[in-house]
Formats: sequence, C-alpha cells, structure tokens
Amino acid sequence: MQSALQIATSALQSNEVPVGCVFVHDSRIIASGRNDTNRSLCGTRHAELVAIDKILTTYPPSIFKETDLYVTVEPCIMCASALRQVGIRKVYFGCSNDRFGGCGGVLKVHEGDGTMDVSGNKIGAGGTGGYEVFGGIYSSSAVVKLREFYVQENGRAPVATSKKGRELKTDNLPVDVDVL
Amino acid sequence: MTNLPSPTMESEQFFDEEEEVPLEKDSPLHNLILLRTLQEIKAAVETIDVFTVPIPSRSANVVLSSLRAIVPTSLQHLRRLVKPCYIPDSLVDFLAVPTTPPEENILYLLVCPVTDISEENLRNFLQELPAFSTTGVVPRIMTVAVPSSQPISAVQATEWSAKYWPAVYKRGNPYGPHPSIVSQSLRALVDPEKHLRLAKQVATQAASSGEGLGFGAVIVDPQTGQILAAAGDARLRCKEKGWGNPLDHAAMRAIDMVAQRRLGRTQNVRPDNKVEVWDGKYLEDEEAPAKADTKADENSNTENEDKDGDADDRKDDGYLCHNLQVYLSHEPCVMCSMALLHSRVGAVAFGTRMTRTGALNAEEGGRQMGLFWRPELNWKFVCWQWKAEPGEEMKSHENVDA
Repeated sequence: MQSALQIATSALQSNEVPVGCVFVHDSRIIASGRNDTNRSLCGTRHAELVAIDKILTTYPPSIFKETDLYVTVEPCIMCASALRQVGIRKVYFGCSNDRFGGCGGVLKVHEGDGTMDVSGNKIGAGGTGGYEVFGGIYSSSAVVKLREFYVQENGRAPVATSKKGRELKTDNLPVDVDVL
Repeated sequence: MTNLPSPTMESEQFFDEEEEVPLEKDSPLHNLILLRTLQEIKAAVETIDVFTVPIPSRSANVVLSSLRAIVPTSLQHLRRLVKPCYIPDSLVDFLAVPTTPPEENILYLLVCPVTDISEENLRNFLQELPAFSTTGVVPRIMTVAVPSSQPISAVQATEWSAKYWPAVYKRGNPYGPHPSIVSQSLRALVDPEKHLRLAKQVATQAASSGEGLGFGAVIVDPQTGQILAAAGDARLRCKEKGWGNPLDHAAMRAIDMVAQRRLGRTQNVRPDNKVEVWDGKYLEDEEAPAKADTKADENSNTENEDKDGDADDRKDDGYLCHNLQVYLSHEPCVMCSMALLHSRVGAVAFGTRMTRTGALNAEEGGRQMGLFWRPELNWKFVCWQWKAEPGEEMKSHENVDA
C-alpha cells in the first residue's frame, strides 16, 4: 500500500488525480498504475485499468485469479466491474469513494450480482464471480493526497468553478469504511 | 419534494417553457424508446396511505387553514380539495357519503399521510371545528392509497387522476431528464438510424474477424455531425503472446479512439504500451471495423463526413467525450456504462438490451441499474433503446458483458 501511495504522489506531481495502485502476485509487484486521464484526454485511464493493460502485455488474463490489488482509493464503478471481469482475487484499498465507488462507496459491484446499492437494496438477477474487498488501509494519507489535488485547478475542465474558497484540510476524517 | 437531482449543468438553457412540437408521424425517431430512470420507475409505483374526509364545501377554507396548525403540508402533486365528480371511479363507492344533510355540497379533503397524525387525533380535532360542531356530524375519515411522488408527465398525471386521486403535473421532472431536455436531445441526435446501423455493422465485422464478440460502438460529435470513432469489440484479438485483453470492449475502445484523436497523435501515446493493445490507429486506417465504417458511410450518406483528416472539425479541443453522442449495438456492461459516464457523454442509444449484464436499463427483467441517470453520480445522460424491426435483432450473447 505504501508503494501505491508513492505512485499516487507521482500522479499528483504530474497534475493527475492522485490515485495509485500495485498488483501483487506471489508477493511480488507485477505492475503499478496511476491515474492518467488528464494527459491521455481519456476519462477511462484510471490507475487500475492502466496497470491491467500493462499486466496483459506480459501475462495471460488467468494470472488475475492469483493476484491482489492494492489501490489508494476505492475502485470506481467502472474499475470495480473491470476487476470483476478479469477475475481479480482480492482488493485492498485506502479511502472509500462516496462519489463513484464500486466496492461499497456507491454500489457494490464486487459482491453478489453486483447491483446492490449502499443501502443494501438488492435488485436484479443473481450472478457469480465477485471478489473480496478490504478498505481503510492508510485511508487518511490517501484522502489528504486527493485534497491536495482538488485545491489545484483543472485547466482542461470546460466550465471552471472558482476554487478561491478552497483550502487544504489535513485533519483526518473519521474512518467509516466497513472492513468487509 | 426536496433533494431533487439537479439536471446537468448544460441543460439549464433548455428550461424555457416552450410548447412541445410533436415528432412527425413517420420520423425514425419514433423507434427510439426513452429509458426510464430508476427513480422514475420507483416513483411510478410507490403509493402512500393518506386520510381523506368529506367536508362541507362552504367551510373548506376554514378547515384547511386550521389543519395547517396541526399537520405539515405535503403531497403538493395531489389536489387538496376534490369535488365528488372528480373522485376516481374506483373510489366512488368506497368514499360515498350518506347524504346528511342532503342539500349540503361537499368536497373531499386530502388531509395528510396517515403517518403524520393518528385517526383519533384527527377526528377529535375536526369535531371541534365549526364545520362539524355546529351540525354534530361525525367526520367520516377514510384511508386511501395515493402516489407518493409527483407525476413526471401530463400523461401520467391523467392516469393517476383516473386511478388514485386527481393529480397535478407541474412541468418538470425531479426523477429524470426534464421533458424539454429529452425532446431537445432527441432532435439533436445525428441520424441515429444510420449510426446504429453502423454500430451493428462494426459489431458484425468484429465477430466475423474473430478478433472480438459481436458488439460495436460509434461516437458522433453533434456539433459537426462527424463520426469520431467506430469500434468493434476486440477482446479476442491475440497479441504475439497468445491472449487478448478481456476489457477491450467496443465502447471502451471507441472512447480511447476519441482521446487519440484529441491528442492528435498517431502512435506511442501511452507509456504503458497501450498502443500495442489497439495498434494506435485511427478510425480511418483501423483494420476490419474501420473499413466497414468507411464503406457504410459511402453507401448511405453523401452529404457530410469529411473522412480524410485526422483533426476534428470543431475548433475547441473538446473535453473527454463531453456531450458527444454514442450509438451502441448492445446495452453496455457496468464498466462501459460507467466509462461513458466518466467521459461525460451527452446521449446514448443502443440496440439490443442485455438483460444479464447491461447496466443502463432500469426496468424489470434485467439488472435494473439505470447507471445513465442516478442522483448519486456526478454526470447523467439521456438514453434510448432502438426498437428493432422484425428480423433486425442482433445476436446477444446474453451472459457476456458487452
């Protein structure tokens, strides 16, 4: 997780949303990734997908069933689904993501049939192939990195809202992530 | 009603109260079925028990204002006072009042949800009011079920008025896209029939090339009418290593292509060798799907499409896929639906519904995720399903994520 945090820091320095991840297989990091959406102009270049692409240039997709992901922020709904589709074994994350989290933040894509929302309303048909998720690891470091980013300006966003009033908060949020 | 999901920022310009112009009778747009949002579906079926009581019509105002002191005003989408002739047929017998005194005109007062006050307290309160105390009539409090949310269209309000209780439609939609956004977005679609056909052609090409499953995606810029990307599924495309990327879905690849165009580079875009995954080629020289695309264009349309330049016609760079239109052969999976949302697309139309894996449709008989319009997510887009003509249906690999 500390490696993932370092990678998040490097993303921050490149003006990317500071999210970093490492994929670990047999106690060895086989790939790392960081958010790359701003540089690539592509909204899907999240850390997890960048790293998955890297892994697949060397390893077959079957490696994921023996691979665990460590990521600084809870995977979003898109990545949570991608991780499920490649068949990841376990996911460890830092802070939760209540805006688009797919591992409990907004939806629980990783468990059951993947359609459950946070309040546990289960709808839709059954399914298999979820993965285990453990959240809240170095949560506050991950949050502070995000805050460092969001006090910056995003020059590429179409209608920039004024960020004058924003200040960097460093106090810790209460950790309300369920360790699942 | 509070906590209404705010419409997307861009939509505000559409909020003028224009009269709706109906579509022309033979417009192909009739084939597009608007997807209802999760909240719209919920709002359409949820009812709540309320108290109603017949009161002498001449004391209606007094009763109403006295009630304000003891119960909160809610359910503003329903008529508070209803003449007997407007009571829905299904309730007429249930609500019938013994005519005492017969010369008195009555109105049915919708009091409040049964959870706001006990029937006994309400009866005691009403009995004290002059409307009842002077005649000694015991207030006849009855419980009826009414829709708990406001109607999202005039049609729905009419239906509810006939079935539950006279309802008021206030032009607006707190549970989904405002009717004028829907109508504007629908009319802004650039030849949806052609582009959906193209998405299906790309899908067919992807399947027959053996490089992917039969899914296709087309992204169009409504400002220029230009096709920015046409991509087939490529999850089976094997590299020299002997395996493909299970995440190379059509929509993901199309979104990538738009980004590549915007970057204005032909190769070596990613430090992570992503180039290898999809060859770093543009629509124009991508192998199988691209040929299908160009061909389809020549066949079906001669008017616009400037296909030879790499650069967009639009002057600004665009932001991600901001407000672009996306045409898909099949309903996308969770990953792709969320990728479209992250990319800030404006409108999506798809062909075949994927009941096991699709993440857009919120209706029963599928996963009911309705990802295109959920209040908790920071982007929303309007979404349609194209009603296939008989014989036009695509094969759907129903267990596979499209």
